[in-house]
Amino acid sequence: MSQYPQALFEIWELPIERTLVSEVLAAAMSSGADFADIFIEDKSTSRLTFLDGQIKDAVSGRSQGAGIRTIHGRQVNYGYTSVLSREGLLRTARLIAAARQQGSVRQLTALASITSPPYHFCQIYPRAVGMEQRLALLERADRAARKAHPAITQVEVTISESLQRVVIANTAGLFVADERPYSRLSVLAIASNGNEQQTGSQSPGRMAGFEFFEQLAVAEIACQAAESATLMLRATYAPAGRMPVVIDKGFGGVIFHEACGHSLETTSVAPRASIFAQKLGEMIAQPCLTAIDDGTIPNEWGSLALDDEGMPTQRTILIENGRLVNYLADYLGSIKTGYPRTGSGRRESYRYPPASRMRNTFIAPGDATLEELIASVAHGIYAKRMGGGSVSPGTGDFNFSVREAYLIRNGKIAEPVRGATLIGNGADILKKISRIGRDLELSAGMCGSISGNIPVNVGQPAILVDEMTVGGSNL
Amino acid sequence: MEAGALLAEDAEQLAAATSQVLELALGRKLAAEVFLTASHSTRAIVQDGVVETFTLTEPQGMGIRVVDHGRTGYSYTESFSPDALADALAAAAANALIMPDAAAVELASFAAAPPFVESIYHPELATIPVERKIALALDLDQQTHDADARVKNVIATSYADTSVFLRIASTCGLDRNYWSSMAWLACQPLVFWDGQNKNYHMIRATRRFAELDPSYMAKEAVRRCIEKLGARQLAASSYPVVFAPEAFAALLGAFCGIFSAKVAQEGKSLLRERLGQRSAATVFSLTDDPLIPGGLASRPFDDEGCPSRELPLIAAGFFQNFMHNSETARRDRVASTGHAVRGSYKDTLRVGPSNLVVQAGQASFQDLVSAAPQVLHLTELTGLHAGTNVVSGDFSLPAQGFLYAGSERLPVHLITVAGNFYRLLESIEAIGAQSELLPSGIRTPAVLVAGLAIAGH
Repeated sequence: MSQYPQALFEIWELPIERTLVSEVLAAAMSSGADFADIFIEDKSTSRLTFLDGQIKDAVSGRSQGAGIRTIHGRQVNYGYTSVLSREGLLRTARLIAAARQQGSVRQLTALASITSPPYHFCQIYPRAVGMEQRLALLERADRAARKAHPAITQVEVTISESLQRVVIANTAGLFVADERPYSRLSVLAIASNGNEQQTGSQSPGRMAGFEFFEQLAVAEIACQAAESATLMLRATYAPAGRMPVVIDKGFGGVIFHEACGHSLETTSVAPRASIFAQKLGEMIAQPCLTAIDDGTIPNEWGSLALDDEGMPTQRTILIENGRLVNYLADYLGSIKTGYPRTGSGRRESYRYPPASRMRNTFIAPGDATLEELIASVAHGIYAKRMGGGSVSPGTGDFNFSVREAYLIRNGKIAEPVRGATLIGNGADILKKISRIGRDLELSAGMCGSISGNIPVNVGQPAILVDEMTVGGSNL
Repeated sequence: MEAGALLAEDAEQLAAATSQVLELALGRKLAAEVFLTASHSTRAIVQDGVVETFTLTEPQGMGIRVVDHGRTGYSYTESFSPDALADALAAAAANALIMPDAAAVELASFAAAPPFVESIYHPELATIPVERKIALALDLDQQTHDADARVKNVIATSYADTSVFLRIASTCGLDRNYWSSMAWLACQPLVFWDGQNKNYHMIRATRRFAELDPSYMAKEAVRRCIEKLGARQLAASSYPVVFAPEAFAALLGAFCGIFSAKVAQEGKSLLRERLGQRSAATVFSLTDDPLIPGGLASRPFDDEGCPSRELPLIAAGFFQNFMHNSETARRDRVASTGHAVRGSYKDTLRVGPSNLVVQAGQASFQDLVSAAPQVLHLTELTGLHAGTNVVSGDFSLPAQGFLYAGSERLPVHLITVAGNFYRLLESIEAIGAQSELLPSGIRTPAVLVAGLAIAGH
């Protein structure tokens, strides 16, 4: 950690004088609690949407506010305000203190001087970039997608940028700051033959400034979206039933995110609502599977220097050679379960109390090539591009959608088939991941859960799942 | 916390913020609209008889829409300090400058007065003591635990409510506001028996606090879990499907974008050229009714201030109307239908429904599930955000329910139902007589659809 130059904080326009923050924490604790923390946020966002070959929507905005939490035992009181004045902060602190009595008043530890870890640096701040550069980028993506195939009838390109600045303090004396830039490009291509229309999409993102767009192969990404839409237009429907599935690298990692990741968050583990509760040290997968949740990778979409409770993030091994070795714990989750904190306390904004959440979650590389995985399947499907998914941690039943797939016949990739949902049960499916490819790739997504929508990466090399239910309509 | 409406000083501050933005806009000769919301919300989450999280919040925010020479720009701010408001107006004006010239948008002023919608606001919600609200969640948690010996755990028991003030004011003289309120109660029991885990997420939404009934909810939630015990996976095959109201509402909610003129104009709805044509089975009629007293999605006017009215979407199988906001209406040379939706002050203008109502039919539940030797009754669909494609109409979704075969009723799980929503509308065979109101505001009976692909083992 290094001390910040005071001047930088002044640019942030956040009310972060040490005496005021101390006073607010003391007010929050005034009717008794074990612990209090405050999360002060200033976030600028902008979104440009390009449709029909021209700008369709331009919106920019600024969210500012502070969330104040007190904890007594395992009970939380939470409140927030958008009024970042002394009066606004104190009013919210007093409101939550008055809401519920929470035990005796504790002594507070004095706040340290504010510090910040070396964070995921932004090279080009959004403000430093002219609108014409963004327009050029949007036009380039639009042109490339439209040129890719005559069946493309519509292209929607979106540039989303945000810069989140946070200050976090607590009654244990913590007083830290972090800055998180996010940049993402989304391309949606629609192919049509008059009676039917199909879509293809790509949406890469990084925790970075405008340099992300400058380094991106924009035309190539747009073409991939267009080719996927065109291909799906002439594809038949996916088969229905249980069969082996080869899930490709990158966003294929959504399978682990849903089948296992959510069930390892102390948010599910603490109330015994997870199929993986009380399984630490047990073999829950085949020995070929090692899975990691890593918040420290420089500038990745799901990375953070500090989590939203002010703790430096970590690289957390979840499953090591098939054995469950760690859960993902936030401050409260750690109190409830006794498992150590992992720097996984995250939230969408000051409007949510933090919860244990994933960061960059991936299956570690093995040694197989994609060809070897395909060659081992007599009849099944190769899932190339994935969409989102969900899970019910209580039962472990999960699902995710495949956007572009191919039949595998006699160990060879055959004709393309349209998307379908793949379903399974987490406890069962982890044991059916039997071979793991060698090329790891991460892919950006948004994860929605109790503390809001947050950026996460999913990832994996190509994997072979011995058997899954494929929800196609081709009987 | 102060009761009912906003604290006097807050109300004053919101009024001053609105005036400041509109005056600044007039000074710069810009047409501008302020879309402002301010709420009071309470939420209590209970686990094992303890209130684990209690939140008391007052979210507020302002969306600004500027129209400069026919070009629209948007911005938003959550801080109402004079500097933040001036910055937000400047940002919206700057965003308008980069828009293409051709749009020729104007801010509409909607001369007609909006109707009064009964029972969408109950000021007493804010005066009910916090302890009573918490007690409701604790009671639900306890009763759910106690409902059956097979209940292993109860998670996510929660009470939440919100009272929202919404104001739309513009430099064209429009100035309208209304209050609305809503309360929710939810729980999720997990039952365990004979090696199977089954859960059900029960949620009730209401405008009236007094309508929340923990005893009924606890019993019903646990009953829904227990009747799923012993569930099996079906072999992949085609089955006639009865969608329970909850399941059909989920599907309709995911695909109602096809009735949006905005979606159609953007080339994303296959209904684009089909106004007046047969688009569904003749037994199927669908309307959007924003004026239902106490309706969960009722509204006196839309998010541009356009007065609400009932709109037929499909009548006896024929596609009648798209939903419009003022921008899509201008482009199609029709009048706005009052379906502008902002979602939140952070969002741009879109189009969306209020209370979607599927007209009830004649069939009893027994008629529906005995329509063929084997009929699949689907009670729950999940993963809708991932398993539906509004542009193509394709869906493939995890489902749970019961197979009716003669006098037998077998619980089924780990299956998917797949098809295309456009074709599904055309293959509706019968509609139940009994409607249900879902938390989304959709009102629908059960719906019988001819053969859909079910994947299992």
